This record gives sequence, structure tokens and C-alpha cells, in this order.
Amino acid sequence: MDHSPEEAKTSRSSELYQNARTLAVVLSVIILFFTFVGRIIVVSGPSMENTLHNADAMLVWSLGYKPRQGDVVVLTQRTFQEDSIVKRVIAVGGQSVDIDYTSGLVYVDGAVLHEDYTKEPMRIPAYGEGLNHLTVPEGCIFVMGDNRNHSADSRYPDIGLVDERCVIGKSIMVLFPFSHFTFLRGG
Amino acid sequence: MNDLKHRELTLPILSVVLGLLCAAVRRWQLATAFEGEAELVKPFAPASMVLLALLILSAAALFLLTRQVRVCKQLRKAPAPALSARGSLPVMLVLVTAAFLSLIAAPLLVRSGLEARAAYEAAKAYYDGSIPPGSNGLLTLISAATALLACPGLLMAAKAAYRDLDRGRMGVLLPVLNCCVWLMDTYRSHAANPIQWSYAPMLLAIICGALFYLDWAGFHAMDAKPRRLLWLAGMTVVLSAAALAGNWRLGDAVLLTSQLLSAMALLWLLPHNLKHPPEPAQPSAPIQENPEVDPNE
Repeated sequence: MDHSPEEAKTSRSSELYQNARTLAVVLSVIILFFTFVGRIIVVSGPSMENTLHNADAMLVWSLGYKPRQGDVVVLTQRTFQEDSIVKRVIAVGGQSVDIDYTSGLVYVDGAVLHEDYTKEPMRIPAYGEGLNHLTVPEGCIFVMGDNRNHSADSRYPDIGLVDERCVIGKSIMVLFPFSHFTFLRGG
Repeated sequence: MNDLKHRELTLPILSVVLGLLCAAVRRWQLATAFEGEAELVKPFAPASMVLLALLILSAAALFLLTRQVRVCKQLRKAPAPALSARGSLPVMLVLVTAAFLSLIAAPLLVRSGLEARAAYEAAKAYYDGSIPPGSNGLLTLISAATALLACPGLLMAAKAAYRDLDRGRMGVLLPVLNCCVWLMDTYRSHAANPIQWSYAPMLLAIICGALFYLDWAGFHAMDAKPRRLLWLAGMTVVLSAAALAGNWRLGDAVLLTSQLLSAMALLWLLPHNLKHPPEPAQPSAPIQENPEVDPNE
């Protein structure tokens, strides 16, 4: 069927507009979702091995999230660096933390933590024992990486205790690469 | 003055007033609602609550007001003439200014992109060649390129409106493209920021700007939504003003001003044209010799 030049022009405009609309609307929805609900964050570094590996892309849930002990969280501690880091919540506000480097054990409220997720036995870090006996104030959390011997975390004075408001969200699952696809255990 | 009397001024004036109010409250929020070195947001800070309420109120007020706008019957089937700005110099000037602001934003964004690129390369060297965290500046550079494209796009749209031409009307899709890339770039540079209040107004302003330009293009693609376009234009003014009162890179501020001006031009033009649609352009009459002279004399 032949179309007049005018109809063809309108049809081209309409097609162009429909494509632009799809792009703009889909992009807006994705960005709004990533801003307020959850986002995809790529792991950088080995500090959470063997739970998470460098370059793993994970889904992080932000909406209404309040940190709980045992959760893997993404946070930004600006006193340390502008970009986000991934760690595990060891203790929340009101709990006490004791790290015994001799036995390589972590005690929370006097009870030993059974940490089957750590990569290897914990040694004294290069910067010294750092923060290892303390009670976490309300509104703060104490975090550590699962790869204890290669992790800058709450033991490291530049990071220290983390305000809950610095937490972006909880890591729910590893999405990519597919060989690492898994749901992450929480607290 | 005569022209002013017949204009529908409620929407543009209300949008500007709400925009100024939001900008003032945003300044108040920045001064009082953040604390500490990391600028963490104070929970339930009065300024944040007032800003949130004001934004919701603005959206509701503009929604109700745009529902009241009357659309002339003849425009329901063929709405494109509603965007005609034939002979309207103020609209033309505002749109041309918006276009040139988009042009000015390009080198500013290039500078930001190159700075981000340099910081990224330095971090890459520090991280021993592995991928460092943070933005690599590429999206900012693409954003600059699309801002450059948005300028002729807006100029074409302005010319088409001023001269009532068919050609060039879809030029407003180029600012849509720019908004899309700019949105990704802005999100990327704040992806690690846990304080949503520090960048959400900017993201919302860009999204609103993109949808506003998109609805403008829709008028020429058989998908005209006049009231929605007016609402989006109003919200673009409000959100852009709020975002301009916050923290930005210079390139962002110039692009925000550009979309704010485009939205103002539409708010000035559209309500009047929807009520009193302009006459279609007359085909040029055949040239007569001495038309004033009666041949019988």
C-alpha cells in the first residue's frame, strides 16, 4: 500500500518518537528504582572472599533497610574513601565486640561467633590490632570483611564504627558472572 | 501589553513561585539538615520534611490547575498548531537562549569528564591496573556530546514553532537524548552516595526535563497530551529551580537552566494557544502587479 509523502513523514516521526519514549521512560524507571529501591553494585577487591569476588555484580536492597547482624552490606565511609565498600555486619548498636587474635575468634556480647564464611584464620593486621574491644553505640555498626587478612574494615582506625546512615543497602544476591550466581545469607 | 492581557499567566507564575519557594527551602535544607564531615542527613529534619511536602504540593497544585485548562475543540484532532509561536519573539528568544545554554554546557562537561578521566587513570595506576572504583568520565564526555547535539535540536524546534514549519519540529528529541545520557552520568557519579537527599532533586529534575521534551515531541507524532505536557513543564521549572539551589557541576547548572527556560517558554505559549488556537499559516498568495490599482480606472 502506497503512502503519501505526508503520511510517510508522520509515520517516521511517530516511530522516532516511540523509540525515544521507550528509551526515556525505561531509563527513568530504572534510575528511580536504583536510587530509591535497590541497585546493582560491582565488587572491587578481595576483602569479601570467599563470599564475594572481585568484579562480582550484586543486587543491593536499599528501601526501608535497617542493618542486622550477619548481613552483607554496602556502605560508603567518606572518612576512608568516596566510593562504596562491601562488608559483613558483625555487631549493631548496643552490642559489644571483642576480637581475640590469639585464637582468631570474634566475640559478640561475650558469645563466640561461628564464622564459616571467613576465608582463612585471622591474623593481626599490618596496622596493629586496631579497634578490637568496644561496645557499638546506638545508630552505628561494626563491620568486617570475610577475608579478614585482606580487609580494611571497622578494625582499621580510618574506617572505625560506621554510622547506619552510611549504609546503602543489603546485598541480596550475586547476579553476575552466572557461575557465581547465589543468594547471600543474612543475619 | 495587549498581548499580556490575553495571556493565561496563572500556570507560568505559579510554577515560578513554587520553583523559587522550593529553591529557598532547598538552601535551608542544605544549611540545616546535614551534619558532620560526611554530611549525613539528620532524620526528620524540618527543612527536609518541608521540602518534601512542598514538592508534593507543587505536583498536586499543578496537576489540578492543568486539569482546568481548556482545550479548543479544533485542536483535539490536530493538536500541532497549539505549539505554534508564529511571530512570537519572546518565545523564540527564550528557546534560542536555552539552545545556546546547551551549547555552552558542552565544553564545561568535557572539562568535568576529562578531570574524572584523569582521576580514574591515577586510581587505576594505584590499583595496579585492576578496575578502580568510581566514574571513568566516559558518560560525562558522551553527555557533553549530546548537549552539543541538543543545541541544534532546540534551534530547529524554535524555528519550526516561530515560522510554523513542519520541518525541524522533532528536533526536541535531541534534548531528550541529552537528558537520558545526562541522567545516567549524574546517577553514576552519585551511585556510591548513601545520602539520597543530596542528589535526588537533580535526578528528578533531569527525568522531568526528559519527559517534558518527550511530550513536546509527542505533539508532532500524533500523541499529544496537552495537560500532561503543561504539568511536566511546570514540574520541570519547580524541580530545576530546586536542583539549581543545590550542589552541581557548572555544566549541570547550565543544562538545568536550559531546560527551565524551555519549560517556561512552553508555559507561556501553550495555555494561550490551547484556548485560542492560532490560525493556520496562509499559503503565499500569487504576486499581483499593482494590487491597489483598480483596472477600470
